[in-house]
Amino acid sequence: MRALALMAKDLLQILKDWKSAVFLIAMPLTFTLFFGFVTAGNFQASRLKVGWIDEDAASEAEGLGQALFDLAALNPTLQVERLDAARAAKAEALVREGRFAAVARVPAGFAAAALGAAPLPLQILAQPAATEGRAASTALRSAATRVLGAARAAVLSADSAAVAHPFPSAEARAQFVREQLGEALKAWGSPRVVLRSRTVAAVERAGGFLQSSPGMMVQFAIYSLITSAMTIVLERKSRALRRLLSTTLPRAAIVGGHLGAMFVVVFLQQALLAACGQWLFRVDYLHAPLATLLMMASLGVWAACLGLLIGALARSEQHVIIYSLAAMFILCSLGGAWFPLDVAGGTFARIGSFTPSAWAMEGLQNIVLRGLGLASVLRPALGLLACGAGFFVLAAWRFRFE
Amino acid sequence: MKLLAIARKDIAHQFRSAFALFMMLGAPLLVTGLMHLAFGGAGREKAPAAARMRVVVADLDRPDPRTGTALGRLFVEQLRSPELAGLLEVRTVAEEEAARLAVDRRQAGAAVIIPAGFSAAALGQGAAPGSPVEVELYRDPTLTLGPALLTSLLDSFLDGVTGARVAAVLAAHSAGASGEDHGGPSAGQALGQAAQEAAARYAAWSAQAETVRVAAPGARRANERELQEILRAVMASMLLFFVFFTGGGAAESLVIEREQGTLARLASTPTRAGTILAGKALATLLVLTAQVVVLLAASGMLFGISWGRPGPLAAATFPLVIGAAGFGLMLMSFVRSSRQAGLVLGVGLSLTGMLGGLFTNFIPGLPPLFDKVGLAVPQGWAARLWSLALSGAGLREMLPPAAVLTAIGAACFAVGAVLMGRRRA
Repeated sequence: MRALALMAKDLLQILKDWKSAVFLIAMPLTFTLFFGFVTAGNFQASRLKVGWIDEDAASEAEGLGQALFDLAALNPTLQVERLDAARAAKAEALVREGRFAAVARVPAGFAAAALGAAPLPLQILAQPAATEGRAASTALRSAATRVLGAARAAVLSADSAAVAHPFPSAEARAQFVREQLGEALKAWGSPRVVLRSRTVAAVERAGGFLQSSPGMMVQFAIYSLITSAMTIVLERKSRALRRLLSTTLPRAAIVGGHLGAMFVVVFLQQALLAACGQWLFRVDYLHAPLATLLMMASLGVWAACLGLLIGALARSEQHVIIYSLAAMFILCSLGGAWFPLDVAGGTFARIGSFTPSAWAMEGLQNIVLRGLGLASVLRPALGLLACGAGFFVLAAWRFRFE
Repeated sequence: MKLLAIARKDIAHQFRSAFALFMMLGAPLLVTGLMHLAFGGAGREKAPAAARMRVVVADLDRPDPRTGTALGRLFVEQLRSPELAGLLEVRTVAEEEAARLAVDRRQAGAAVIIPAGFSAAALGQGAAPGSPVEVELYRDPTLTLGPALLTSLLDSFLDGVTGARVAAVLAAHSAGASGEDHGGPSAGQALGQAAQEAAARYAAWSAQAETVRVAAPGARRANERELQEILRAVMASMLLFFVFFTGGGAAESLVIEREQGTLARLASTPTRAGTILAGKALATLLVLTAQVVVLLAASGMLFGISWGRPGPLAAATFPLVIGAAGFGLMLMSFVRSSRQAGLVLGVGLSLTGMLGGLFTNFIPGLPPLFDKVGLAVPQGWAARLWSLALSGAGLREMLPPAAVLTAIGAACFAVGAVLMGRRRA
């Protein structure tokens, strides 16, 4: 019972400090809102700006340049804009400054080469490191492939016609090729086979917070340890821990009381973030309530044990901040809270998959991203609890009361 | 001389604090180091391969009755080619539901379902069916690279198939229109042969044709690898964020000295208030400059990041240092005690850093509004300035954001100095 009293004291101490509300609630909500708004969902809705420079006047007669422009403009992910001479001269700067995702340049001789032996490629200026640059390049590649493919089909058609009935003149052949080009472009407009990309129904219905909500829950479960572990360090410095030893309270009860308070803080934080995720950000935690509860509890246990370990090792408030921040940086990056592990190198991803933060992300993503239930979170939850037990043993071994 | 003595004392105090050193140097290098481990490092020739993705294919296709071609099987063979062996692990199943279930159960990252009649529809020369035949890619929503690669492969394959069919149809029509009207099986065979030849020639052409050529802006950076760009962007963001943090932390010393009474004792000496402030400002500027230099050098040595020409970097560093020092002083001038300082530093700088785009410069397609919102805080101007410096922009291009950032820093410094002076009084 006295351990509970100690726990209640810690909780009161934390909750009475208004700064705790900022660190524990306001910051994670703000980060979730911000990152959820800018990632996935929303950015797919906004079209990528692409600049267009046509240096092939001859293509106007063939219609190839216009056909290519029209195809690119029809792409729902692109917003294509012709650049005048002044802006065309600053194309590199426009891409560098991010005003355009890419600038496409139809080189001189494009149409003639397309109808000849070797086509000239469409020149694309884009930032290779920027995903929007790559997305714009992919969309433009598709348009260029269709137009150049149509031109090639028209040429092959003329070759085939000429076998039985040679053209009387080059102009007659050129006229025939132009007609076939129109037919080919029309045929490309109605492909017989298309690609349809799907994912689980839960994701397709939801908005852009499916990565940021669980990611920020994991990140701030670790970040909030600063508040919890700081209590232990301050009590040690003020010798309150030493005074507690002079009471009849067992050492285990003292440690347990502090641990319990840390667990409650993290659990309440998770509950609040899950509730906000459910009702504000349309992240469906409640479709598997038991699974969500189990993940919150196991994440709370693991984070509390980590906080106890930090409190045991740290000698000052600044040490608490350093250890907590280092733990947050390492575990969040390795665990996939900041970016999906599949975009990292294979070794990094394999190492990351063994971290408790990765298990936490896996459990939460199984619920909100994959739409799975209780069975899918058993393994991650057990992993978190086992890791928490390990941290607890270490903390108990290294814990100093003075 | 007093100014220099005050500056020397503050500099020594900063560099003796383990916490300050961690926040100045350790934290940004740690984060960038983690990114370096994640993305393979910029200095090495060959980046580590991305994790292999398991793919399940349900090939329900049957060979086209006319040509005997089984496009589904061809695609599966392409996925199993040696070039893709390091990226994809492919297995086939008999039913589409089994394929989707494998993804739902996390046994595979993606499933490709090739429907029955795919080859017949793709290669058919008759009237088009009511709606196109769909090849379905069912993907794990938590994965990005693997599904993107599969999408690219599928798009390319389907474009090739469609292109070959268009070529075949046109060739058959033109051969039929221009040839003698024999009718009968031999005419049909001739048309079929014309179509097949055209399709084969198209396929050979599409396998080697270069339809686009992508280049990065800035000729001198044409050979730089994408991973180095990512690392440089991460390190630049961390540098900016922690320089602003150090600027605030340096100003926090004023609050602590006020609490401890040393500021009042200093004021009781013949030293003018302006000298004290100038000394502390000089210390902050020197510490921040040293931080930038050390971070650039250390990241270059540890992670092989190439920062480009020193001229633009130097031109970007001076306004950054002014902006960070001034903004930090202004933030601390609103604080009454050192306990509040932690909150203001942590929360205030995190929020302004977020608004300034320091945490989101990798995220694609941000609405234009975010660029504008970012310019409401000095970190946004710093991010814009350093982005220009790192992308090879000229000094003329860098001048406007540099001037704005310097002006913001100076204005913040003036406001902070006035408010600090009032609190001291």
